[in-house]
Amino acid sequence: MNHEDKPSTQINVGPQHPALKEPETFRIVVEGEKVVQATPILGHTHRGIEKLAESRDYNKLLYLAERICGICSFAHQANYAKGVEIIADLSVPPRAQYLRVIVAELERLHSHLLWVGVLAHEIGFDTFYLLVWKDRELVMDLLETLTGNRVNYGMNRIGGVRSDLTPEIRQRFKEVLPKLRERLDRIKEVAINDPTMKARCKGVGVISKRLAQETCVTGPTARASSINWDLRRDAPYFAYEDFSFKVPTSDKGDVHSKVVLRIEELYESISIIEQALDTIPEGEIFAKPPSRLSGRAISRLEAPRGENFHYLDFRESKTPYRMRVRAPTYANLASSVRALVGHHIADVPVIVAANDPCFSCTDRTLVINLDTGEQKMLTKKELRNIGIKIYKEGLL
Amino acid sequence: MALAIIELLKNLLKKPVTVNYPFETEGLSLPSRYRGLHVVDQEKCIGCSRCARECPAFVITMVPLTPKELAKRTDKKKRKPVFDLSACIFCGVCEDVCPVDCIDLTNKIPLPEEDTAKLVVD
Repeated sequence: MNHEDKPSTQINVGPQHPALKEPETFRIVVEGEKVVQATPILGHTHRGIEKLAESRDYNKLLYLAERICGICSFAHQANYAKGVEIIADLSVPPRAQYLRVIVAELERLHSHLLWVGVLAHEIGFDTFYLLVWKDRELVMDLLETLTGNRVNYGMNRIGGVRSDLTPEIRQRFKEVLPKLRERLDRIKEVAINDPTMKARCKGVGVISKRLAQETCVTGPTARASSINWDLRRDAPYFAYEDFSFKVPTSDKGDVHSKVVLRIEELYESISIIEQALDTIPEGEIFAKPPSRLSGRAISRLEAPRGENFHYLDFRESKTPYRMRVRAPTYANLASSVRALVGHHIADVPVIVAANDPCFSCTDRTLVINLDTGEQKMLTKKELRNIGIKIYKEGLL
Repeated sequence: MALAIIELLKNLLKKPVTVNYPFETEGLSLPSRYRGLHVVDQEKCIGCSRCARECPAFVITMVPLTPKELAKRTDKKKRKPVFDLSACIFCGVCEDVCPVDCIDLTNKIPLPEEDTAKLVVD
């Protein structure tokens, strides 16, 4: 295949695990070792969750929403619960809000530590990978003690949470969190100073502020490209307005700055958990929701990977008329693809992994006619026209 | 690299973090809130089918009691819940909604089975 009249080759990276252990294809055009063009091909793990949601009642949907993502399961479940609570005009007890903050921050800790480990594995630094994952077990144990499970915590219910904080669990947190902070110091030292990390990550996959703005990135990817935006501070939800914390940013935009930025975020997460443990109010952890719901809501939440978006539409029923989910990776994927251009093939997994992608949360449909092989995707203009038509005809 | 080597040497002197489960179980414990194998107190159960209605994974079916079991009952209970653990998501909703607290998700892990039919328990 020719690209710009120079001899070039097209190769497929994936669908077998291009970066993390999830299927996605990146069609890459290379000239020699250099990437000149990259296109992502979505759709390998489409699960039809949004359609399935239309047949579940809102209580059972909590557990489906939780299974959108295996790593930020709490973020999806809490965001869904938040959306339903907005529709039901339900006020969640303060203690439940604090408990949600604690679990959300624990999830950020485990997600970021997992990602640092995966990145170390991608650059061939398996010693660091295993050491980080060993420390991550401290967080997993805390999650298990508080919620009853390591993943898919089942912590939320509509109107509150299911598990309360006991004095013994609080004591356990107080013992483990200083230890974790100590371990983080060590992880940060290795991440910043180790020659392998520097050689493979510094100056690699740079996403400039302009590119970040053009591709609408969110979360740590945006903050590493000097976009100072965090929903926890800028559009507070749960009880985040009660805590003081910093939002680390960086102006470099490369993979190394994302490693350091995520580790810095973890210190803030530990600080938020400690503040929450000290100031958690007494009281109920659950408010009873109504039996039927009517209304629409948009719910946003700062998941470990970025902004998590849920749209819910209930029409005098227990099951939603429409549920729409946009996971952070969907917003960040375009920037990864643009960042690949100009780098070597060996850097592709590192750059793809740098945005902490979660492809099964992201995958959407592509209509393929099996008889003709014709593929159909709606353009931006077509989508806009459909939107205008639906709005004018009052179909919503 | 030097930092990682120092860390590696420190860890060389320690015991492995992982345990060779299920051959070694010493020192292993699960928290009391762990949601594992279901234990149902069928004596206490009133057969209201609330657990079956609320189960998000639709794994609980209400099965009629056998004549022998019926003869033992003094109340109006005619059915009992049966759990298909092969499809269970261990969310604990059945435990939460039970009005007589007869369902308990213990901190035991269900044993693996070759035949999924063996995982249907009451």
